Amino acid sequence: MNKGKNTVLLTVAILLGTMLGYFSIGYAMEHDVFFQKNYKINEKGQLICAKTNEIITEENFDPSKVYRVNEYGQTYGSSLFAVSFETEPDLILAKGVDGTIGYIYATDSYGEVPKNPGEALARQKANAGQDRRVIPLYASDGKTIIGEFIMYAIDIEEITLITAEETK
Amino acid sequence: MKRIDFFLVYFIAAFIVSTSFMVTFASGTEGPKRYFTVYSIDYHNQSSLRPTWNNGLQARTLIMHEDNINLPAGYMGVYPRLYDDNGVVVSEPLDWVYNNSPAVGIEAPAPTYTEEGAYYSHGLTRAYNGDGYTQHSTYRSPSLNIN
Repeated sequence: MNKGKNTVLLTVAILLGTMLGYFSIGYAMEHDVFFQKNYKINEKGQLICAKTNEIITEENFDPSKVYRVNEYGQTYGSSLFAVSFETEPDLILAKGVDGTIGYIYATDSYGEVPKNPGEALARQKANAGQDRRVIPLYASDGKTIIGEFIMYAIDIEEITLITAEETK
Repeated sequence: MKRIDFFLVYFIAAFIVSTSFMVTFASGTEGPKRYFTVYSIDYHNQSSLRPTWNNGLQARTLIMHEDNINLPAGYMGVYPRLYDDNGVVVSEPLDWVYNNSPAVGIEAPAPTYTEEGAYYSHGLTRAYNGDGYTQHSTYRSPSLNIN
């Protein structure tokens, strides 16, 4: 009799524990409970000022509120706060190879814009044999090199090309 | 009394197992789509985060033609980036990835990252405009944790 009761209790305990665990961790992750910040990013990907709840858009984006400016007039900060390509800073906050936090030049990172598809593909082909690219990590002055930032090649198998034939 | 202890032990054990399972095998997350037109061609781009088998994360960026018609090779490019919770870039690929054959869209990842923390995906895309490329950033993805 006791054995039967214990089995029922055991089943109920496991069920309740599993359900509560599942829902509580799901809620915490969805609502960013573990990582409170001084800015918020809503479900639409918009950047929101935590103090005023103002949505920062391309129209009201003020670089001086989001980035700092060094003595050479270059903006520096996190490109995560950019609301468009045009609003990215000159110097992008990045983590160097040994964990050093510094800045990389946007131009070092994603390079010159190709003039046409032929040039873009030629550049892609030229990079195909490389396994990494190393660029300097700078202090906020954009002059003092404080480390290295490494960009690794990605596995070609992980690139997804979607064709009209596949989506029909 | 013993029965309550027995109940509590199994309850706590089940709670811990289920939360660990959820964290380890959490599904990916996607940011909203950003729509734009370049060279009279309608596109959208999108960033996402995907957990990997080795308990890491991949930031992925997609650009896609709105109509189901293949665009010529080299028309679309993506540059995915992974950011930590402080807005620091921690992973990005060696170079832009373009569609190397006619396609409706292309999606590529940044190298997998495995350090603990909360992360965002926020990439860049390029679309051929007849005289070079027009660049757009994606909207940010919601954050996802590596534990």
